[in-house]
Amino acid sequence: MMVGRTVDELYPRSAHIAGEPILEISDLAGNRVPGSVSLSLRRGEVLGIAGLVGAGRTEFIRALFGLDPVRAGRVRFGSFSGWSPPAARWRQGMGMLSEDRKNEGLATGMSLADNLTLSRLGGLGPLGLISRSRQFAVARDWAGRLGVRHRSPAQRVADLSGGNQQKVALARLLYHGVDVLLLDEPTRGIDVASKAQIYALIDRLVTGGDAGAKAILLVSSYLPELLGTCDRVAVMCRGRLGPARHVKEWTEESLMAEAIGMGGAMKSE
Amino acid sequence: MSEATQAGLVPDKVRPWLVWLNRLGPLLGLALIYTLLAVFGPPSFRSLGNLETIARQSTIVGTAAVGATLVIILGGIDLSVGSMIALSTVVIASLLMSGAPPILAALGGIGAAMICGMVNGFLITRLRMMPFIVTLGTLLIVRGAAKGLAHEQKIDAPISWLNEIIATLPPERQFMVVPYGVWLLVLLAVAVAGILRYTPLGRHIFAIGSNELTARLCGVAVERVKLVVYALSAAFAGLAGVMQFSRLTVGDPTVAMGAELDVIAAVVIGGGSLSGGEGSILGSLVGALIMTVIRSGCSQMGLSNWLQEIITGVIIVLAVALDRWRHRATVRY
Repeated sequence: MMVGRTVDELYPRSAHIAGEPILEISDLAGNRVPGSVSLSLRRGEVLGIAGLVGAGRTEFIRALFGLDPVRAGRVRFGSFSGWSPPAARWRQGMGMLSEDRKNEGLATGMSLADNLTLSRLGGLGPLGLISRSRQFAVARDWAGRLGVRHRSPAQRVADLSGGNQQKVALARLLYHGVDVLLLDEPTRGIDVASKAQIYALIDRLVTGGDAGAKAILLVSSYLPELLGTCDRVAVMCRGRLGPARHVKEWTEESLMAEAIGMGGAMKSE
Repeated sequence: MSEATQAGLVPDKVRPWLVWLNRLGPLLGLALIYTLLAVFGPPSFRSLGNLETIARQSTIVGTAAVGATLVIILGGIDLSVGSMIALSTVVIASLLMSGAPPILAALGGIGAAMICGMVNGFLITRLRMMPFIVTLGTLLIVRGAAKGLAHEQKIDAPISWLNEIIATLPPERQFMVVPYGVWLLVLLAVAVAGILRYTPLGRHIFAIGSNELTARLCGVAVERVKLVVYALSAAFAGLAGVMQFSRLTVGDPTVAMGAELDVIAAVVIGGGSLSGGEGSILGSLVGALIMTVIRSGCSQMGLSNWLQEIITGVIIVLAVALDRWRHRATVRY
């Protein structure tokens, strides 16, 4: 490989110990897609969602996070149940990384510090005010931990590279301290070095390196990435989410077959 | 690849003087225009008294511009400002005529404008209509309502201390330098600038203007913030109405026609961007001052009205062109 990494190094994998289920969804349906999604996500695991573009994966994540309406189904997240708007989801400990970094994920005209702290501006100063120095210190700290190359926390996000932008968007979730991370195409269009850093980060988060094991829902169209980072993978096809199976039971071929709705045909052969 | 380019940093030297130029641009412009007029204009322009007049004359547009700055940073627009100013003067005069104490009359004027602002906010958020269209509609509706309320006449009002808010100071109160109204504007401007910079509401306003989808994703209550901002903008327009009443001493439903354009021009000259996410209270006040200085200078030099208008127009275009150039030239911190 160009950067001299083997596949194993690109996808580090520590022993993940799955804990109690933190997010349970049954028959969730949105307006058009998804048609039906059921899953159970445990602390300490990465659950991958494969599928073709347009299968309803992004719509599922958005409905779960409260950005889109929900038509039917049950959601239990920790001690909360039902649909909640994004503000409530953040408070409950759920964070989302948008697939569209430039148009939704980040306000590229704003500073790195503002972007990183936008979901949690409380506690950055006395009386609920935002102390610049405190905000910048927090931003410097988290940007440093995620290896965001930047000059100053006041730097506009537009001036960062794609990979560094994505790390800022991820840092927002970590600074907020969420338990469940919904990651929609987290490595799309970024350089290999940043990808490797993000895979390492995902691994570290579910092993509970820093503060308690997190749970991650990872939507990706890149099959090697799903097979490399996830503990279990489920496939979405025409708005329906199939059963989540252990990653060892999947191959790129079987994932693809399931995604185009030929999964049954393959098995009967 | 060098480290810097790999990281996507813009590798050129940061030019601190450009950063400062960026911040102080409108202020430098004001100083330049004032100096030019002071050097080439008549002696009356240079007098201290004229400075006081300029401050007083900028107060109405300046007050409305504080509110409009919030709307423009939010990425919206409020065209109904002029009509709300007129409505405010009519409500104040009517209340004074019916024997209400001046403070209640002033609050009544501000309240009436605020209701209009809430209607704007409601239509924009709940019905998801374009701010331009909504406030174009309310521009006419509110103007009509003001005229109806006043039976299409000026409403005389008894003399009260409201008349002194932006009137020239009497000799015994010269120590105030400028009248109450100007001080009130300074105080409110500092407060709003503080809100923009140091509170979550302020950062949310910038975030919505910068990228509304990001704001939504990050849990910002976008609709609520918009409602608050349009109501606040209207409250400032109502207060501008109080100042306008102070100047006229009557309620006039036809006053401040097109004032919304002066207000928007002030915000834009001050560095506000109509695409949202940018603007500053100080800049907008400086923008209002620049327009008054030009007007004052031109009229004292005996230039005709049409020439003043052309000059003001040129300044607006120049200011925005300069702003775009500065944006390209600076790597902002």
